[in-house]
Amino acid sequence: MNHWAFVTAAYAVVVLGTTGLLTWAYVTMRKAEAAADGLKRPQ
Amino acid sequence: MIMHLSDFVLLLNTLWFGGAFIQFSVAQGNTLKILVPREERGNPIAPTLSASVAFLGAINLPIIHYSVLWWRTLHQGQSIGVSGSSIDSSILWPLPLAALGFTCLFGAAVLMRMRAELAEAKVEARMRRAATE
Repeated sequence: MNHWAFVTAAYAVVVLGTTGLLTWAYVTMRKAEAAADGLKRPQ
Repeated sequence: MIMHLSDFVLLLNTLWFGGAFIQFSVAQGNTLKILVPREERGNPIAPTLSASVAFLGAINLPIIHYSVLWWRTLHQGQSIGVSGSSIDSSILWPLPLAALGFTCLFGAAVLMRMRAELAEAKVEARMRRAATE
């Protein structure tokens, strides 16, 4: 049995999933912080 | 490409351990905050989802531990034990390294979600204050 197709697919799932999760967390964090800064009362 | 039973078992194994890793490396309370956006948390499915993840996470660990005994005709024996390891040293040391790396990545995700949560709470408070002023 050639196992490389499975290994490649497993790596692809992990890389895409992890990158997607981290990107989503980063983008939502930056958006939320920008929104909070936008609503700051002028000093 | 024809999928053999052994491929299917390998795939299930990956999903099994991947699922367990996600459930245990991310704190249960944070799992909901990572998986469900803030605006969807009022959805009645959200607490059920959180409880399901906690339940599956709790029930998964002993099943994983005993799977090497229960399915011993299909499953390889225990690889790492208290007395030693049957894994070759060339792939034994990357194992804790990879676990540490993924723990750090999930730690980063949890911290980023925490910062987003705090900022969203700030937005809510500032909008409420602006409405009452």
